[in-house]
Amino acid sequence: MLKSLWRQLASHNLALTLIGLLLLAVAAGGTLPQTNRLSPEQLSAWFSEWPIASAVLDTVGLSNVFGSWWFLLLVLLLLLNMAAGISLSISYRLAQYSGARQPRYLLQGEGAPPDLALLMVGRQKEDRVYRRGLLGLIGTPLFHLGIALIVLAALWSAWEGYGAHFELSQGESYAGQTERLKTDKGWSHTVKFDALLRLDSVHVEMKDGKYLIDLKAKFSVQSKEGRIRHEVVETNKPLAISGYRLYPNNTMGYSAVFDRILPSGERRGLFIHFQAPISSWGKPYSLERNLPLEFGKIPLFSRMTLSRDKTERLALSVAKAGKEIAKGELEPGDVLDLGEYKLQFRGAVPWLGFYLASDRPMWMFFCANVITLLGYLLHLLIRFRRVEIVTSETGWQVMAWTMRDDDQFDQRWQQWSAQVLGR
Amino acid sequence: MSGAVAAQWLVVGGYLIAAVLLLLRNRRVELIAVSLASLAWCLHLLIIYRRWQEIGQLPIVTRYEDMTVDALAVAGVYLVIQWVKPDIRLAGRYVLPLAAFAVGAALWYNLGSFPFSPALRTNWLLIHSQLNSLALGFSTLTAAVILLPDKAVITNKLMAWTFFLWSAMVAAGSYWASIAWGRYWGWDPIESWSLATVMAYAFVIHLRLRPAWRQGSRTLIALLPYLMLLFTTYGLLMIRGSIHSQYLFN
Repeated sequence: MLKSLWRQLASHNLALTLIGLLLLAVAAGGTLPQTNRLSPEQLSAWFSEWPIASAVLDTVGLSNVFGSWWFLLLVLLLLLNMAAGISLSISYRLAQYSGARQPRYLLQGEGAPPDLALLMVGRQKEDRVYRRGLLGLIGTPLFHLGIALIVLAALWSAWEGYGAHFELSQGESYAGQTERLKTDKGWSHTVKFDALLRLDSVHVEMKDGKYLIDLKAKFSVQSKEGRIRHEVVETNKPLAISGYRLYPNNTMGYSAVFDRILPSGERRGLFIHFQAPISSWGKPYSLERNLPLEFGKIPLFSRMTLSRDKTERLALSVAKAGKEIAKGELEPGDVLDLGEYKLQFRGAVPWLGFYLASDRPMWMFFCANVITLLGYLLHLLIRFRRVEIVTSETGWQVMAWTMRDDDQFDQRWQQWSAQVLGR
Repeated sequence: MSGAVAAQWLVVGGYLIAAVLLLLRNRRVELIAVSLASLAWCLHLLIIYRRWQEIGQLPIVTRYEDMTVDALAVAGVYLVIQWVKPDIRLAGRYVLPLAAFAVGAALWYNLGSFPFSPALRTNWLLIHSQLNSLALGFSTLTAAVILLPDKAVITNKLMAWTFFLWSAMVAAGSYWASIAWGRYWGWDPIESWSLATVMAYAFVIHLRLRPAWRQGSRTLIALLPYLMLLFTTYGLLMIRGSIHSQYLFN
């Protein structure tokens, strides 16, 4: 019963059906709008401009293909199909190697045995048994094993891997404030990013005013022992730090830098980030942002416009419970009194966006890719063939065991047998 | 018309004349056709080399450059393999006009260049893009050989190599993404369609293990992955935005 179920799981028909269904699902997911990939603005436009299409896709489960239960089910079934297929394939190949199965080709005749040169089966390993391409035997199982490992690594990575966006201004430090990380994936991830780092400088180079050609961020990183090292992060050269990797994510802009002056006289820094398109870098700008400025449990709502022509300016309006409590046009050094505390505008500095990732299964994913490609290369380049000749006083018998897609041997066998039968 | 554009039209002419000569069913004429196509290919290579020298970076980023390099791979793969396996020489009737079309169509795009963004400054660009072009070359030849009678054996081999090259291209791109962006897979439309194309080849390769699917009109299903590959490479970015279009084909 179990053996029969295992054979059903390993069946070629099931493999074809699952590959076909997954192919359709992946193509659909790559073509139709996927709600989990849309920004809030795109999402609301999609629902308002395409109310029927969005409702239909949602109902049939095509609005989030790659996060759906049925996609996961298809992947798991394919994994089972491959596991069963690999186990049967290994036993089949062992039988091919030893000649324990019925041969794929058989020819017999009388008299002197024929010459096997045309079959070019390679070296004689044992008396009357010729084998070649032993590595070819493991090609396909290795390839399927690699695919199965890729799927497992991807599942592991989806569960364990972590990714988050965060922004840092020039001169600003990060000291384990995980609330600043906007988690992108890996909700189950529990290891805290507790590095101590400071963005010392930002280097952005544009060509012809619109092409970004260089982007570098220089960091000071403090180890737990207090040692400080200097690192440069750039695209294709991430920074490995505290079990994470830090990548520039090509978002950037300018930060309005403030000092919050508390009634006690204490000063606390504040950076407000304004996103700027890359193409506007280095040019005069005027950037707007509306955001709550919560401090000391006092919710304030602010509207800001940061602009720069010759010097930086900040137009700021602050409201509390819908009523404007402060308004001003500030230049560096100017102070605005918000009642509970004062804000001193100190100027503008660039900020950069980073992607923080920790994905331990990634090594497994790439090893699995190498195994997959190596397995397929073995399958392509090396063909296992076993030919056995048995002679007796009355005649001879030639038997051959090959892989079922060995078309080249098939052609050779046809030519050889025609030659032998016609001699 | 600049010298490079004129040379490019000469390449188009060379490939097209070679394709017409291959229709004549004469062995000597076939050899002349292949020689002419080889000459056109050398000129094609020279055009790309000159472009490389001129702009000082790999010419594989704009749509013009991409199509010109892809056409070089399509014609090159055909010329090499027909030399090793002369019985597929007639596939040039389909392959060479496609290469000529790509070289000619490339000229409709902006011929200017733009500097590489930081993400493109890596050897992975060369590896990834050349695997893509080679896969395109093998897939085009496979599609052409499918249309020739009694070529099941070589079709299978070519399709298997296409599958290998395309899968290697996807793996290389994935590794590059992990270095540049911190994630190896993001279900972006281009990534999804690349995977769908891998699966389409896997589907057809498995299907062709059944003899009934190796002959007659059923064999035409083997063209499906080729059409998907073309759509992934050229069509998708026309209808869907992708993280890849931030860097390529401006």
